[in-house]
Amino acid sequence: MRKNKKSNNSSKYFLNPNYEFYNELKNLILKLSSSERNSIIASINHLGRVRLAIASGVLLNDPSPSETADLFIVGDDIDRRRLSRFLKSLEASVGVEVKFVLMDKEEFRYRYGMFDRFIRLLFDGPHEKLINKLGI
Amino acid sequence: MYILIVTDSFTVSKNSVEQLFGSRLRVKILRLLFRNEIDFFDLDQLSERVQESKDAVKKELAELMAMGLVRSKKHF
Repeated sequence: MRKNKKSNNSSKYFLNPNYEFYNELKNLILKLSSSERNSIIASINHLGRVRLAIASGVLLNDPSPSETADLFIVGDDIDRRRLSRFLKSLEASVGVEVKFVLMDKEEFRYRYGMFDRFIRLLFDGPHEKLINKLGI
Repeated sequence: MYILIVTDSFTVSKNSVEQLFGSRLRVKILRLLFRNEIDFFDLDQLSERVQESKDAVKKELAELMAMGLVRSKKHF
């Protein structure tokens, strides 16, 4: 994917760490606005029969590395092509790789019922329910 | 390989941060740079990561550099 062998004499770009408003700008830029959040939710709903979508890690306003998944979706009949396009566009706008996990409703029910480690870590840590049609 | 997604409802949405900064692409470039503070990117990499054309990215970079926020150096 990231093959850049021919870039031996091209310019490299980076942030000027001495920029006067560096930290202020960083805080503002890394925040996901409510309209972005809403369009992410709309796109997720468009992927198929989505019952649950949880944001964590890099997708939260106070981003932190996630042990489990940055985006967790429970749903059936998910359109794979639409999903990969959505993830690509999500990563492009968040600026970092998004760890993604998808489960169908059956598997989620089973894991949720048996206090699965992944589910427990996700629900115990900082997270935000973007879509919740399961009433949990 | 560059894939431009313009019809996605998520991509075309307006929001105040983008309006404040002038363009969606500018926000995407800055997000990428702030999220990966210790990294350096060349034009090919930036263009691929933000999923926009090199020409468009180059234009934004020129403005960000004029503002003193972004710097560049030749990589040998």
